[in-house]
Amino acid sequence: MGQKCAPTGLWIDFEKNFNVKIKMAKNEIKLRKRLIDETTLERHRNYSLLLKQHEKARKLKKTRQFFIYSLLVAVVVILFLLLISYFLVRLERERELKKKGTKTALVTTADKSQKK
Amino acid sequence: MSEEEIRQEYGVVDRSKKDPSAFGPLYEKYFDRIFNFIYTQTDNEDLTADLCSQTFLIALVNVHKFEFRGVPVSAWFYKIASNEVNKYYRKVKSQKTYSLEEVRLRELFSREEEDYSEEILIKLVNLMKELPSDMLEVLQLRFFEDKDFKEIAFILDITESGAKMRTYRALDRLRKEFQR
Repeated sequence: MGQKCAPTGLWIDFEKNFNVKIKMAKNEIKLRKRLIDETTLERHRNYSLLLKQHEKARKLKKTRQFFIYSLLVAVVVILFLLLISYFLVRLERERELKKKGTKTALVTTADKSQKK
Repeated sequence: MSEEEIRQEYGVVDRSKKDPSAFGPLYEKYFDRIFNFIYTQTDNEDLTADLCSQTFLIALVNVHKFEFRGVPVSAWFYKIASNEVNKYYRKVKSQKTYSLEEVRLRELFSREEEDYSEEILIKLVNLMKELPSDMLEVLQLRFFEDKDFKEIAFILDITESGAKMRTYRALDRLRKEFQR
């Protein structure tokens, strides 16, 4: 921290005089001679870094979107396959039941004719 | 800031929607102000640098969502910065630290009264410490950042009359405490 940002004499006196109040206050307020100097601002100003971060964030967002989209497609496909297999199994069962049904019907008619 | 200047800045924003590198002039113009604004609420240089960088990154990432609202683009940066600072304090659950420029405070005082004692200045700072954060925030924007009520309303996501009311309530509270 530069010299210009150091607490002022007023602040030091204030801390000394109102020490108890400081701890009880809702907010901490410090008085500075000057907030931030030009050199400090220049050190932190970096537009190319911001653009790089933006590019990274954009790629990350796209990857995330692609992942979520793929996941959604996969879930939909799996659900679709499950639905199809369910109907196929049901159809197969019905067919088997029909077959059994005809066999039993044949057997009963045969029994009846024998009794006669 | 005139309507024409605001429109010009929105032109830059529109260009940034297609080409992010066009955002540069806005970054260069407002970096110092946003950095100082965040610094006044954190009193920590490294933290300020992080939050400031995060502020501009959020602005750039969401630039396509930005619409003309009749306030300068800077108000949007202030809004993001304010949200980031509040988010940080919510995360660390610590007391908010305001770092005010003594020269600015003295300037404000001398506007009202030529002769003021150091005792009064100290008393004011002491009373300000007891104000709720939302009131301090509004006072900071109004008197230290020179924002009008329309901008304050936009930054704090409240109505213009709400911003006025909050400012006057804060001033009224300070006045009453002063007279005690």
